[in-house]
Amino acid sequence: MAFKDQKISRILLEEVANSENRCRGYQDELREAITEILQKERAHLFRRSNIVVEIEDIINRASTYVNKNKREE
Amino acid sequence: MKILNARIEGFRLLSKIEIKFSTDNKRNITVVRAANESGKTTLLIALQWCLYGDEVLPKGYSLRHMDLNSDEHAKTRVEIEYEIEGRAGIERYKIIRRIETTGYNQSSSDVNLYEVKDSGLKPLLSPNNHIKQHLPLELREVFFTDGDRALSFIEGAKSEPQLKVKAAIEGMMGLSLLEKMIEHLKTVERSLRKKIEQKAENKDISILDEEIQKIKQQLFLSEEKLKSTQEKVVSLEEKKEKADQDLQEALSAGNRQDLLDLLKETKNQRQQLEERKKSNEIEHSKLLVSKLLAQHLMAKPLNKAKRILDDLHIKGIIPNQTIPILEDRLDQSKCICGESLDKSAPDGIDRRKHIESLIRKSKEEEELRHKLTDIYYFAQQDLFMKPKSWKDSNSSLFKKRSEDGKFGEKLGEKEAEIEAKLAKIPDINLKRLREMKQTFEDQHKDEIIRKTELVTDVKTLGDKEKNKQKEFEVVAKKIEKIRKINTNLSVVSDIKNIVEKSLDQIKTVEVKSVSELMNNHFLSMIGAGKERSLIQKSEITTDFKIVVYGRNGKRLDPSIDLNGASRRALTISFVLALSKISGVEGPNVIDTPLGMTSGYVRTEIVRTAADNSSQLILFLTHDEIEGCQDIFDERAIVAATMTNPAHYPSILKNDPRNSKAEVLQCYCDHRSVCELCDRYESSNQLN
Repeated sequence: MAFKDQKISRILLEEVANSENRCRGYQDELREAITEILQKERAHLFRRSNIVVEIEDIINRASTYVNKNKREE
Repeated sequence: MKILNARIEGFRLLSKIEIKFSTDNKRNITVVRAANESGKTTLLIALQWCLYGDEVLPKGYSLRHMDLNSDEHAKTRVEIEYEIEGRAGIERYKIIRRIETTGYNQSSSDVNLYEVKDSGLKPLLSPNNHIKQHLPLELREVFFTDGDRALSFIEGAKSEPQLKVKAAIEGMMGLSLLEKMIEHLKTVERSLRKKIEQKAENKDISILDEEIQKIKQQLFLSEEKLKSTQEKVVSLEEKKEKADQDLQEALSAGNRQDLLDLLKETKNQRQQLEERKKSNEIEHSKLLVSKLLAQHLMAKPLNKAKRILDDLHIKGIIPNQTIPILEDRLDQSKCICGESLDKSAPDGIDRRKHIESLIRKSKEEEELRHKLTDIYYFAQQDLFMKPKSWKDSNSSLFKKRSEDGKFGEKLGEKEAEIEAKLAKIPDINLKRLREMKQTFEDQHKDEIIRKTELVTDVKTLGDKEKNKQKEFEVVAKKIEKIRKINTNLSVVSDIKNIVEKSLDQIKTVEVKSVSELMNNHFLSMIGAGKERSLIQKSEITTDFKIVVYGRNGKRLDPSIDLNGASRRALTISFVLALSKISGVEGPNVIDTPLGMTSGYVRTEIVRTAADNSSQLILFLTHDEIEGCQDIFDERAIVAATMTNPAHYPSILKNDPRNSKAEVLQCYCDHRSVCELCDRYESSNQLN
């Protein structure tokens, strides 16, 4: 009965494919970020943490990727 | 998640109960057979208590063995072993919950969780956290239910079922998780927007750039000026040095001007000396014709005359001038010597007479005395006074004239020497050299001051430029930061949009899928959906309400318009469909699900449930098993038959020889009986 989140993950990742591709590899970065946020949110239900800061870190990492790629492009 | 086995000790009627559950995918049904009042519901509660803790117990529910008196000590212990599909494959855990009580006041139970390894049990810290992840509490009612409670999804007050269905869907489908996720993403979004607002208040970078360029221009000009000044300083230093060198060279050859000045001074001195010599000469010639020389030459006869005149003076013959003096004294009544000349006093009269006698005598020798007196006083002043030494005067003058002569010679020599030196010195303008040197020194000083000022200006401008540059960098960094934050904002917005769309997708498409699957199960279970059927369709509405439609699309109220069997079928259909679509795997543990059902509906409920559950655990009465034996033959293991010895002799054929309030367990399956579980009804039911 444990949460597997496969369904949610699948739907989220399908939606990623429909999102704007801001730079090369952006959607892959989004997939990774969303998966990680989902895991953090799930863990947060059972063990409280500063989830907003954790999400900010993930967003920041994805953003760094975008900036780096845009510079290179 | 699948339950592997359970062991119950001291839980109300249940003691020494051990059940092994089926984990076989084909034979996925586990049946626990028990008549009414034989521990099925207690078993369901025991399993939930072990997994979820004290909060799932009905209010006032006592776990104590029913035979125990209030003052007796009671021990309750339930163990469950289960497995979950972890990231690294199947993981096995063992949970043990226990409580010891005295009286009717129950304290909190203790729980321990172990990971089951080949090497043995590995205790886990914070067991509640692990258990919450393995067995979410909010899904309990979906997976652990009984026939009556299952109906609560569609029965009861109007708002309640809707809330239960909604809660079940939200829990199983992860809607609440996504809603929380959106909420957190919005918080991040707000925080980023705030950061941008704070950073956007900074100075325009282009203005800063302009300021820096201006400073750079000023700095360039100042540096150029400084460079030029430094060159001037160097040049002036060289000139100054050259002038000094020239001057020193000129001076080392002799100072012409100084010599000229000295010559002039020497000539002046010589002129003064000549004048002095002339003066001394005159003085000397005067000395040779002076009274002093006469006195010097006539010293002897003059001394003799002096003695004579002195004698005459002593005798009072001279001076002649005594007559008026004496007459005056008489008028004064007081003598020169201080004695009284008072006419009335005898002494005074005598003295007056003497003076009067003197006056008379004087008058008689007047002419001669007059001449002698003149001579006396004249000689007294000019001739008889002790004269200065003529020799001394003469020597002094001679000495002076001699010294002047020598000094004159020296001056003459000096003058000749100076003139000789001057003849050798080239005619160089030392004054001009000095003036040039001074000019260069003054110019050098001015340029040094200017250089110092320019150095200060350059340093100030340099510092200013550095500070502006720093400010520029800070602003540039902030702009870069804003750019980064903007990217962060774009990313978080993208993710938020994705999650919102996904949530919408789940709420619509996925819930619709649950609805459709539920409808399929339901119609299949009750054999409806055909043209002539009274029930045509069931569905979950967008506001998460389960509704059923009859013929002509007529909307029916499930809690009123459906019979008991259909209501159970509908609830079980919903649970199975929700489990299937959500992908959340767990055991469906249902106590007496088949009450009010019979025949086709009963078997179809079991068959559909078995087809759509990963692990179906059914606690059934003998009656509920009736009609399903074939399915159980094929799909089930019967884990246990539980018998209440208190049913002897009314229901049980044989005396269990146990008077305790305690359910007894045997391992007879759905088609067999033993001495313990044999019932009067068995012969009919087993056929």
